[in-house]
Amino acid sequence: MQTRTLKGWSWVHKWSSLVSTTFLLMLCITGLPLVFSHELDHLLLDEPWAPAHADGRRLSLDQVLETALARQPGEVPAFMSFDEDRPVVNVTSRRPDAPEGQYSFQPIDQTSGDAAPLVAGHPVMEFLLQLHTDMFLGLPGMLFLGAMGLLLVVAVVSGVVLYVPFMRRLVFGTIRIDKAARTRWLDYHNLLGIVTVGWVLVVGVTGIVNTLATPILAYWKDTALKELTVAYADPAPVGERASLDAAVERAKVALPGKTLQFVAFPGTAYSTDHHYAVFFHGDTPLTTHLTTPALIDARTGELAAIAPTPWYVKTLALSQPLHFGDYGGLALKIVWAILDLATIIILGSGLYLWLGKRRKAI
Amino acid sequence: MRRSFPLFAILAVPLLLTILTLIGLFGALIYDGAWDVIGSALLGGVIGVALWAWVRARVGHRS
Repeated sequence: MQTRTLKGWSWVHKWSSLVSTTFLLMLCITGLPLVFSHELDHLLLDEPWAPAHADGRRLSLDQVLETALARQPGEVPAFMSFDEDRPVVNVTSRRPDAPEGQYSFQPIDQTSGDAAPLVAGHPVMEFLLQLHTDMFLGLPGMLFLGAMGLLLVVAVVSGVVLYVPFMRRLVFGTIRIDKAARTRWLDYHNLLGIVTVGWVLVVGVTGIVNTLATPILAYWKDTALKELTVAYADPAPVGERASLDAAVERAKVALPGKTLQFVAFPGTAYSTDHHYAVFFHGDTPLTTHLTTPALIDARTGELAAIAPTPWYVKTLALSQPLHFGDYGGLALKIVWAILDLATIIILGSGLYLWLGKRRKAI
Repeated sequence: MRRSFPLFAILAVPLLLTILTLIGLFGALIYDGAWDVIGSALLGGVIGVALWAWVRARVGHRS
């Protein structure tokens, strides 16, 4: 490689890293506990609880919804989801004029209508998640972090390019432990950087995709889903909605053999202004992460369409587990956390090397 | 003067580790059961290699 080309790549690596390091460090630090969010939520929110009537009749979804909305007067339903290991229905609602992302969340015992304790979403974990996702800045924050992710990818690629001339005369894995601290840390930086390339790229790219969630879903609504709403002039009025239970039952008939995951109400990011979007997931490890919605006309309760998700929504869905590493059990999570720590060392050592070089130059 | 390694020799191990990482990441996503263990082991291999290099350097330094 010519000296000029080498200098060019070095410049790219230096600046792509420097600009993004602070934010990437924040993402790595907040991401570390988020890898174990299920375990930490379980630990922080552990509270003995049993349904009021374990073997009794369960309330209908319409009754649960009515109960939830009575406790949050003036709010409209946004989502309804279902716990897998307890008879609890989670109702998410919001004020019509609430800022984006501001919701009320109520877990409700389906055997009695009483409030059930939270099993996820401890305030500390929610704070870390929000900081990690958008730094409390909404869409601009998400897109900014996406841009930082892009710089990470540039830094990794330029780092690999620079690794080659650097290792021309060194055996793989060389750490010159008897040399000066700067040389030693350069070797640590290079070794950790090169062995974690695959993981860092996957986590970085899936992180970028996750930051595009809002535009991806908006595009889906404006294209594929829009074709299904041509016949409607106005959004479905809140008071004129068909039975939710009937809608879910109809959707189950339309998508047999799949597992009900959640319902998105009209007007939310996951549905149109006219439909209940009843989402199901598959039962294989891969299809558990992939959802298919059945759109039910919110006025008539009729099945409007099965809306298979396009490739970009599927990519978004698969990017979430691949970013957070929560799909392969505790062992994978532990490895994920160690790799996260390794990334913190790479970022820290990169900063140390740059500061050292700068001081030398001065 | 020390010899200069060709491109393939420099990138062979990193390339192998990257391929194994990707197999582990996607294998654990697509399949269940044993693949959760295999995926963790393949991904953990990366940490193992870094540790091996560190231990080798320390042992070499002492001797």
